[in-house]
Amino acid sequence: MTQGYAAIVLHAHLPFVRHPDRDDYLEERWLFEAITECYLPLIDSLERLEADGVPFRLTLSLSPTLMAMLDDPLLRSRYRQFLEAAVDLADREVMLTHGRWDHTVAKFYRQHLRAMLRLYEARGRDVNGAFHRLARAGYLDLITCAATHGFLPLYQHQPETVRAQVLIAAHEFGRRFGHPPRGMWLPECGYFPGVERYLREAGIEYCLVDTHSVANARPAPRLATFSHGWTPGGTAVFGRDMATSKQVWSANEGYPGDAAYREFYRDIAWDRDLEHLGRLAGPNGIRTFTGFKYHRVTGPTDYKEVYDRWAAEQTAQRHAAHFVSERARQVANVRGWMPGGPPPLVVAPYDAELFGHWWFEGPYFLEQVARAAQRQHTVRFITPGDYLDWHREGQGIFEPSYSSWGYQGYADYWVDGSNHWMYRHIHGAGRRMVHLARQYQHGAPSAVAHRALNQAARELLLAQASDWAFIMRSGTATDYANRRFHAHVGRFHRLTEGLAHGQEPDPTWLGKVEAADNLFPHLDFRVFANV
Amino acid sequence: MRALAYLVVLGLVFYVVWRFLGRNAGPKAKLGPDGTNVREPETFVVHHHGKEQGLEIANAAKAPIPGRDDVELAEDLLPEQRPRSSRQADAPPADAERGRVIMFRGRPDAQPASSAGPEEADIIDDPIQFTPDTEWTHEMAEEVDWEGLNDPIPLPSHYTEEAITALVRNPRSLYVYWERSAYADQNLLGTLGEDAYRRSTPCLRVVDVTPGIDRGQLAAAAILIDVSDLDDHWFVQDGIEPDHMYEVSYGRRTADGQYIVLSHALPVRTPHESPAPEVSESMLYRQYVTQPGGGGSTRSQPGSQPWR
Repeated sequence: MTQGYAAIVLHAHLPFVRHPDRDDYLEERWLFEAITECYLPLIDSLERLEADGVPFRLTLSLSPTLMAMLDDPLLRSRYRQFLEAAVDLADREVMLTHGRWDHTVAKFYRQHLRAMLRLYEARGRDVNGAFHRLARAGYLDLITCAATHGFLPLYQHQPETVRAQVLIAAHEFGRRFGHPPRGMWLPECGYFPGVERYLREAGIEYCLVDTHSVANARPAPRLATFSHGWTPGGTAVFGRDMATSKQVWSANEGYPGDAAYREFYRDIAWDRDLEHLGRLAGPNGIRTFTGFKYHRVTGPTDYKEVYDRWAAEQTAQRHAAHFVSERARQVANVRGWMPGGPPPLVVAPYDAELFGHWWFEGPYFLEQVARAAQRQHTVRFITPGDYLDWHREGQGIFEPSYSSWGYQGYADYWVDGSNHWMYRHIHGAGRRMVHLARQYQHGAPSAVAHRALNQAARELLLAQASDWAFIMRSGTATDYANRRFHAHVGRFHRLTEGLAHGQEPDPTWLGKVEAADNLFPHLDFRVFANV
Repeated sequence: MRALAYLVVLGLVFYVVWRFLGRNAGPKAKLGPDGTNVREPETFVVHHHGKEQGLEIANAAKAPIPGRDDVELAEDLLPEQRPRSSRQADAPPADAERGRVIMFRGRPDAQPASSAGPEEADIIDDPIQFTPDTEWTHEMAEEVDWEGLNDPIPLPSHYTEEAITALVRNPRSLYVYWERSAYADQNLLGTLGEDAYRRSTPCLRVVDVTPGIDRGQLAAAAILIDVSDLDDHWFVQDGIEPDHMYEVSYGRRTADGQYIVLSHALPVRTPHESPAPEVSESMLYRQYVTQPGGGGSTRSQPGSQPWR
């Protein structure tokens, strides 16, 4: 008998890293690697479940910036080149390793990459479309997050910004999938009391928050994170289950650290000639990850043993069975201390890129979770939306606490000594955008001015992405984040500086900026005019 | 030879029939509340701005997985043979000339982006039909003159409005940034006189304005932080309490201790730091297994990027 439910929620997001002016930006590879290692394997796993008739429900949050890149013809074209280069390298690796200890692994990569290439082409290079089809087949519940992943608690004093981030995201989602998103992944799980006002306006029924947002709520939630609550503003809130998160995320206790899984940091990029690496070598002699990794975690030592895919899959099956049995134990236990309440729901949100990129066997693990879940009846894997349909009342009303899922649980990571200077520019540009949106609410003076205002809104949204502050705090790729932030704020000001006095920007330059930062094609700058 | 050909044809026919039957026999993978499989509804209801709209969708259970068989068969497809999405198939041929023309022309009158779904017209109201080019290829991108796109543009040295902003970092810390307003400084100089102004010091004042605290306590709860004329931000770490409301202002403290406000930030409220007092520790342990707040995401680990 079913004692309760579990909901795995994956959040797929990458900052907008499209650079049409050059094809050697390493940052575009963030997208290409994610497609190869995360999104395509996830599609492959879910389609195998579908073909085998194994029931499963998974929630997938697609950020609007990621959706825009996955739809973009230029990036699709470049990705195809990247994947072909990976297949070519796999062919060379198979020849190079002939008769050696790593030949079996090389052959595995060749087979795997060829399968990903075939899958990509068979889906018409349309990853969003493949996810949409799986949603219609009942395997996925698609939701989204804020437009450019802005960390909303730091914009709460500028409600026009919060509203624009939420409404544009919902609009972009609806444009692609034909209906508004039921749920929203708040960027970095950043919640502040009052954000639900904008979620409601966008037709969003629920959002996800970190554990302590629920634990510190007032009044105290009697069912903790095991059922949703309703904010005073009328949005359902699902809290992250700590135990489930630790089981996967923890560097020490989590599954991905098992000795049998693929070692992330040992890559052939540092063992081969640049000529041999071909197009997968970085530009100008820079060595960067190729995705070809021949070792397994082995243990806390520099000595790493050869990767054995069969052993890794066996381990993933064992971990999946453990994961399901632990959820079953958990819901049965919780059911015991919440009699009379709704059946418990364990919510397990993760970054989608964990599954495949960091944890190479992650998508296979998810598939095995579905298969293990089919063999028992205590816990069922559903989506938060399903739970809302069946147990709408949840545990009543409470107000969650301001929170995030970042370091220390609040906003410390996004406002510290390394990145605080950004906010005066983001907020200052935001105020100017609101002012201009109200000034031209009933029409811009010319077609060029209208385009400039729309593009200024895009540049502002791109500057608001939490990724730039995050990268600056983490101390890696800071040059890129710095350049991107300066570029978007700079373009915003160049686009708007003359408009207040009736001067238009250079239309040729405007056209180039439009072509470069081309996300949100239906954006209307007037979204910034209202609260 | 002929017999062999017959056998091959027969085998292919058998394979196709077998795959067709196999697909259609597959159950739908959706669960009911009791954990049993339920059929995918052919119509589902979406809620949008309080209205319910029925939306017809294809019954995916009846449809094959597109290209699933092709995954094994299409290894050596030539570029011109590759499957194209309906979106690509419907699009006009893309060439370099078209890319240049579309990219730089004014577009308020353009059609909606071709990536829009077929159902969107019923749901999404788009007043502005702006369509950046959607059919770019890498060859076209290479032909465009991108000069000037990445020219560095200096950030503004100041923004003239709302001279101070306070942000909540955590239950016990605020971040405050401000801009010195030459106009306000000039006014103050006129009021105080040059000598008194020179002997005054710039200062932040953080006042606890939590509702429920009586006005008599407010002055005692104020925190004064001396800053320098060169400072433009401050991390307020001392004296900030969870679940309190603070109003931060920037001003100058005169030699005789008087504080003169130059600009106010909007009040901010710090979050709760702990569960409601009525919850026992044993209950917390049982409910949450471990004390929350440490962050469990690899995104939170120093040294990691959003991606790698």
